[in-house]
Amino acid sequence: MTDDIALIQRYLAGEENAAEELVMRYQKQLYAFLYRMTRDMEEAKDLTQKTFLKAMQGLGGFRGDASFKTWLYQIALNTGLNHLKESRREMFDIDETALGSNGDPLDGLIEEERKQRIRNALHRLPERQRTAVVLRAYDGLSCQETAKVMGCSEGAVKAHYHLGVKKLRKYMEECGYAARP
Amino acid sequence: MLLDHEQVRTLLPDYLNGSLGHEARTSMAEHLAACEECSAELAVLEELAGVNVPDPGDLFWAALPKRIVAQVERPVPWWKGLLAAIMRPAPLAAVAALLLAVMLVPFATHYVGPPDRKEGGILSLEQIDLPKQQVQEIARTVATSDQEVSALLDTDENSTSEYQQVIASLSADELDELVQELQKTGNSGGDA
Ligand SMILES: [Zn+2]
Repeated sequence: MTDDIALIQRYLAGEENAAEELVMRYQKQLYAFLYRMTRDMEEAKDLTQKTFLKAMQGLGGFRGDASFKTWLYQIALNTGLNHLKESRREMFDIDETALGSNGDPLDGLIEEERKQRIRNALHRLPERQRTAVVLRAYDGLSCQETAKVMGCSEGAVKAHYHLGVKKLRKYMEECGYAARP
Repeated sequence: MLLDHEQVRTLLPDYLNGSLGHEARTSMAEHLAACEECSAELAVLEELAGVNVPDPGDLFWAALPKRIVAQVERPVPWWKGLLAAIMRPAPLAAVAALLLAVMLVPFATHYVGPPDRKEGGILSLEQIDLPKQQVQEIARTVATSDQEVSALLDTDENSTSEYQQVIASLSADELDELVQELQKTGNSGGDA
């Protein structure tokens, strides 16, 4: 597989196919990341496009001191956070009723409802914790990459991540979570 | 390799996505088999992994790359401007260098979009977020005399030239055009 840097160079030299290839390579994971931030498919689609536009526009200045992937995630995170700020939404705004405060055991729920509750639990986390958990657990970024994307130290990433997972576990247990057999 | 609880928990996402080497994977499995707390955390992550995202559909995925390429204003790699400047007739040197400065700014300021040309709009190489040494190198390559080098590196109001004013007021499209002009001039040898 051609590496990202080679594709970037080909694009800058005038080959549009190379840019399409770059987008194809990362579009699904960036969309998923932005969906997890916004929980809205239309917004996530729109933000994915914005992220790539900014990235492609700025490619001439990509200096390769981070990987292209990490750089894309940085742009996606900024774009997503700005969007949420503009639309005056909290990263973790939440429909409290969907969290199941009545203590129904998750095991008794239909699959979709169970997933919905977990999604909501994730959204109850403070922004930095949630970002660290999502980037580590869903996007498979290493602690080092996550630190680059979030613009903090690896130690801070670990702290945010651990606190986040701890809280998730607590939320899940509070609403009757039990590991599936 | 012996891992403590914190190390195990830190590595759980990597364990789940299969990115650990054999030795680490074995140590993780051994620890998890014996440790209830870390296993509980693994279960949380497995539960998270089950939460999917809705798929916008094949049509969207097929169209997006083309749409992006069509919409993007082709970035001009900084070295192209530099190349043009090196081969330019003398008066264009300053234009090329300043152009370079203007072009670099959007890429150097953490993707907040084009520079705000209303506020102070005039840019110089010095204001670009590049290592100082690199900035000086660029200035030296582009400029033809020591005088020009110091002019380029000077952020002083008084050194604001007509060129700077003009370039700072250009739109992205106009900048693109100017770059192409520069390149043409450069390629034809630039007989000034
Ligand atoms: Zn343990």
